[in-house]
Amino acid sequence: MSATGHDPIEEALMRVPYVDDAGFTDRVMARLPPSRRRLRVAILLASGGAATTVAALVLPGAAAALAVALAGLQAATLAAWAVPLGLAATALLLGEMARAEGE
Amino acid sequence: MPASDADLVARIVADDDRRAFAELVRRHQSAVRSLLRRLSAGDAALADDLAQETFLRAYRGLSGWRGSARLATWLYRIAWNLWASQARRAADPEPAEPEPPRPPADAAIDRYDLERALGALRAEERTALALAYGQDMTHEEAARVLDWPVGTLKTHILRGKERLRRLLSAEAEGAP
Repeated sequence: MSATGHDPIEEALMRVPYVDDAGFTDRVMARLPPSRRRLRVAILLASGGAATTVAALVLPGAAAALAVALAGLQAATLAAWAVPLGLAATALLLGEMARAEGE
Repeated sequence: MPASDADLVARIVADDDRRAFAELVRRHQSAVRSLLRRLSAGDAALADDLAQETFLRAYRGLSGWRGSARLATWLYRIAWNLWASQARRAADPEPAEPEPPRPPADAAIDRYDLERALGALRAEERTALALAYGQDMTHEEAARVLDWPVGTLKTHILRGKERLRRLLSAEAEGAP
């Protein structure tokens, strides 16, 4: 330390330059394990598909009965139920996928 | 107002919020990488590898961060542990005589000379100086990160500074 109390060693040690990110954050993010949200979408799709398959295999009569019942309904009544339900299910699925993509 | 570290951690733990984690990395990457560069005596590639691993470990262990210490201090501790393990694996030899730093042209010491000179210190001295200066930590916090008594930290700081002074001034005197 100099007579004036000025210590170049301490001053140099205190100077910590900012390190520019330069893609560092992206490299870290790329190494993270798959997100739980993506996993959730995959499970949702897989379990929906599996449930449909099992139902068709185990309950062939039920599928035929459902077709007859649906055929007996007025087209307008069917649409009144099917369109909003389909839209809601699609929106839910797309929402989950968008959130997962956004990560 | 930007979210606090604690808010971001809560979002990551509750909902695996990757945007929140990216924000944490961006916020702390410079400090963690600077620390590791000093510990690695300027080896930026090694420092960046260890810094990436630091954040990956932090991600896996975030639910264990209780908020009693600052997040930065917790990250420094992970970084230091990783660096210490790597140094043990590399059987960090006692420092050889360093490549001579360029003598300072004026009173200011060049960052590259400083990092090279830090490489000539014993690992404990380098660690103590890297954590105690420029990381916005008190000696008590630095000692907690290292699991050292404060007195030990201060001793290594004094010895490290003295060796740095000798190294840099010897070179300055030997300059043409």
